[in-house]
Amino acid sequence: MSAQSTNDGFVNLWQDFLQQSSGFWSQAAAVPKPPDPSEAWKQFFGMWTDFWMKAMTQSPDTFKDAQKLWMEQLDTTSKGLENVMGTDAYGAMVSKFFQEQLAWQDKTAKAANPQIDGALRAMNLPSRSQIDRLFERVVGIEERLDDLETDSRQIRRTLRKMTDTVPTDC
Amino acid sequence: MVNAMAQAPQYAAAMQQELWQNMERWGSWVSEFVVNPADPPMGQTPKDLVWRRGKITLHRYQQQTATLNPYPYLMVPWLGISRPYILDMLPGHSMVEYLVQQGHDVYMLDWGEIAEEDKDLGIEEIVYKILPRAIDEILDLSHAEQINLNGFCLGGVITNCYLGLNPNAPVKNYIAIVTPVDFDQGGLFKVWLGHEAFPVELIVERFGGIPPHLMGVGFKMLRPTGDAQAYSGLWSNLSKKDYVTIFKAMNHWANDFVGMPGRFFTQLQKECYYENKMLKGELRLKGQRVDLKHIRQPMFVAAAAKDHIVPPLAAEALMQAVSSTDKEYMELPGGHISVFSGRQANKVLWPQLHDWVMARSGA
Repeated sequence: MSAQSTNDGFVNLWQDFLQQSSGFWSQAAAVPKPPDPSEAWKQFFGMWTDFWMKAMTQSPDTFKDAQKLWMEQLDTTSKGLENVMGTDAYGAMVSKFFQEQLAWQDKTAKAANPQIDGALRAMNLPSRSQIDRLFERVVGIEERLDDLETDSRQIRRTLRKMTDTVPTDC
Repeated sequence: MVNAMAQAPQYAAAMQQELWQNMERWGSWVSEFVVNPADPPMGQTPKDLVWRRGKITLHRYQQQTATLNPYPYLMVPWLGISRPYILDMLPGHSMVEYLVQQGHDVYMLDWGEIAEEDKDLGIEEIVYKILPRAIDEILDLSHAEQINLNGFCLGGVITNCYLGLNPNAPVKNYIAIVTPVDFDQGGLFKVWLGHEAFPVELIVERFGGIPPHLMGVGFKMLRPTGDAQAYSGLWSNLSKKDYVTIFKAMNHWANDFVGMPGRFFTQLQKECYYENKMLKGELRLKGQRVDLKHIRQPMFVAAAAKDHIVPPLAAEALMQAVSSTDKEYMELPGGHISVFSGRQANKVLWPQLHDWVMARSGA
């Protein structure tokens, strides 16, 4: 038995099983009165066992084939999703989603922030915006320190060059 | 069924083997994720902090060989998104460690944990102030005249801009790994971020940049089945100790997102993904045009064949954009990260990179 035919056999079995199980669940969902859950699960479990019994007699490599098939399925799903998400329509949807989310968040923040700030003030605690401002100032100070360091390095270099060029016998 | 009966011993053996493997897997799972759930420590190569500007730090890795390559090797990783410790993942699986052991004087910039207060950090400040100062420090410390400059991903965008603005930059050799240059070939990010309606201003106004959680959502969305694939791979290889250790390290890193400064993200979205200005030669920083033709150094460009963040075509474009005559392009197997930090990197990219650099490091 070639690897390809084994794989095909397994795929066919898997397709049959999927059809059977989806048919089973949609039938179960469609009936006016829901079936007894334990009976339904028993039937489903029977189908599952039956599938593996058949699958096992396809080839000794069934487990390996199943693993390979699962990885291939994930890969195919990934490529399929990439095709869907790579369209201009999807790009527009992402942008619209962000716009709506941010507008909603903005409204919520504008409504909630004064209350939160008031509560924090009452507890003598800084608000988020105050902490942000403080950090911005710290970042600014660190940048200025670095600028100073760079300047002093330049001055040291210039002085060193000047010292190097001064004749020693002067 | 007759055929099945004839093969009964094989079925029994296969089933026994599968059962045995599953037992081993469960045992390993319990041992690695229940009894010892801690992730392995990363970034273990000995290093010294040699310069800092706010959160931004420059580390120098300690020498491990008798002699050093005369040209220090500066790694400039991506800004935001994730931390650069993946470049020094685990002992035996670390690009930094490999280069140090080959005699390179390795330095690495770390942008730190970007937060709202860094919202004004943009490409200009990086290429006019931060990178030149870091390079200056390196030249002083290593008593060198020039360095080997290596940009990774968006770090490569920064190094491209730096070299595109400084024709006389003290750079001996230039290496760009998975660096996007032609943003029109930027895959899904081009479709999403390059869309005219993408509300970049609103995002930056609301968050001051891209916060880590949003960064995580964006990258997970790029490959929705990525986690399922990773865990399926783990299940198949659970009995391999080395695989599990690397998985834990990679998984930790892959979920350790950091934010991106608002100004940098705005520039990336508008100037690069939307208008592709860098490749067109229209990108201006403080009024000065970034001209990739100013890059004349010997150049090594590496792309990953299965890169869904920077597809090979986006990275390869640098080859035609520069003036370098000595240039080499390699499309290697693997994905965006695995190409330089994966299990095969020590056999594929690192030795080739080392050989390439050494061949061009003659005094």
